[in-house]
Amino acid sequence: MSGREDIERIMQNEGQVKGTVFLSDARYVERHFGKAGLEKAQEKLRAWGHPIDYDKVKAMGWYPAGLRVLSLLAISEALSLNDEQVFAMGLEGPKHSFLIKLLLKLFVSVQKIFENAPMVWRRHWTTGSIELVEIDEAAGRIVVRLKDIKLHPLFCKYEEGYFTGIARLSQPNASARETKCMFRGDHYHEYVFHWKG
Amino acid sequence: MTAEDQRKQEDVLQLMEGELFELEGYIKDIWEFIPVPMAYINPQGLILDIDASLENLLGIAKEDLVGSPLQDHFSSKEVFPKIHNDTLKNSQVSNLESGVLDREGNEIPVAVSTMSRKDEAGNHVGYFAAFSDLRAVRSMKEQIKEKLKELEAFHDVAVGRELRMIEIEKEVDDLLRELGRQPKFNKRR
Repeated sequence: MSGREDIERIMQNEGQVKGTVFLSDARYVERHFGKAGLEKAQEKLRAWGHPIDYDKVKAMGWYPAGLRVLSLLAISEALSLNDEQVFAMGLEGPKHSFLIKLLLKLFVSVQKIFENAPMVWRRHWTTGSIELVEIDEAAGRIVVRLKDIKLHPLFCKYEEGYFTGIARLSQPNASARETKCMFRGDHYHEYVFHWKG
Repeated sequence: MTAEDQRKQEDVLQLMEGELFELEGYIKDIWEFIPVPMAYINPQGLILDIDASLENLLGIAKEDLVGSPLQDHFSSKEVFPKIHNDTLKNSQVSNLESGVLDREGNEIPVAVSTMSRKDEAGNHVGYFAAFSDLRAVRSMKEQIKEKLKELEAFHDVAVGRELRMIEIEKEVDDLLRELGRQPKFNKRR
């Protein structure tokens, strides 16, 4: 369970994120746990002193990066989500994202999606950056690095699911795995994608 | 940059942000309202977005439809390649009749129309597909067919009766003439 100090430390993270991420969170929770599930998460956020009214969030609005982590943390703790469920939450994220809807013209091939990954990241976040390290369409492999952002291990698991969800909008059998993590002492987060063409 | 310039820039940004939120609300409302089941498909034939009407038509959640091949949802394997290829070639398809499968695997007759989207360089980046539910139209057609059958049957009976009436009238007139009396029904026979 997260204590007051953990919460305030999380909220001190710099940067902002687009509201669309909170709407995706709400949709996942309502679908799998009903409105009662979402209310439980909101109760936790209120108890932490950082309430989120998911109904009033603007997809294109900017919100504190720390609040993004609190949303995940509140949902995870209130509903006792395991890693698999947090990954699944990330996997569904792109399907609800209003911002991804605006960028659908990029989803013509895996190559085009990930060549534009740095731009797509900047449309979502004002902190951190994505670097495309390797792209081998023939072998069905892509490597990206997420740098200068270290929010919470829960966020890493969610992003693993989210990136997988993004890749699957072009390659239904794509999978992604975090192979390097700043919470394990690495200098950046690295995600490796595989698919069979 | 002067303080005045900064203030003006902030005003412009605030205005743009307000317009962005309006646009967001407008797009969200339209996508939720449109009573025509619709999907957005990428050039590889994957469903990237759907509206609430398509979710209701098929009884399949958005999360299970988005990311799946559109081909998987047609009852006939031949239809999707035609729709997909004709759209990429001609930029649109109009009212092509086919069948889609709901969650239970039941076929729903639909008319499919598509419209291609292109990027600034003119490359196809995907297309919208609309699925008009033909069940109500077909049900109406069936009902009209049944009614026509009933009317035809009634017509045959009515005409049959009419012809029999004419026969009987002739027989009566013939009998009256034999009796040396005036015909009753057709004095000119």
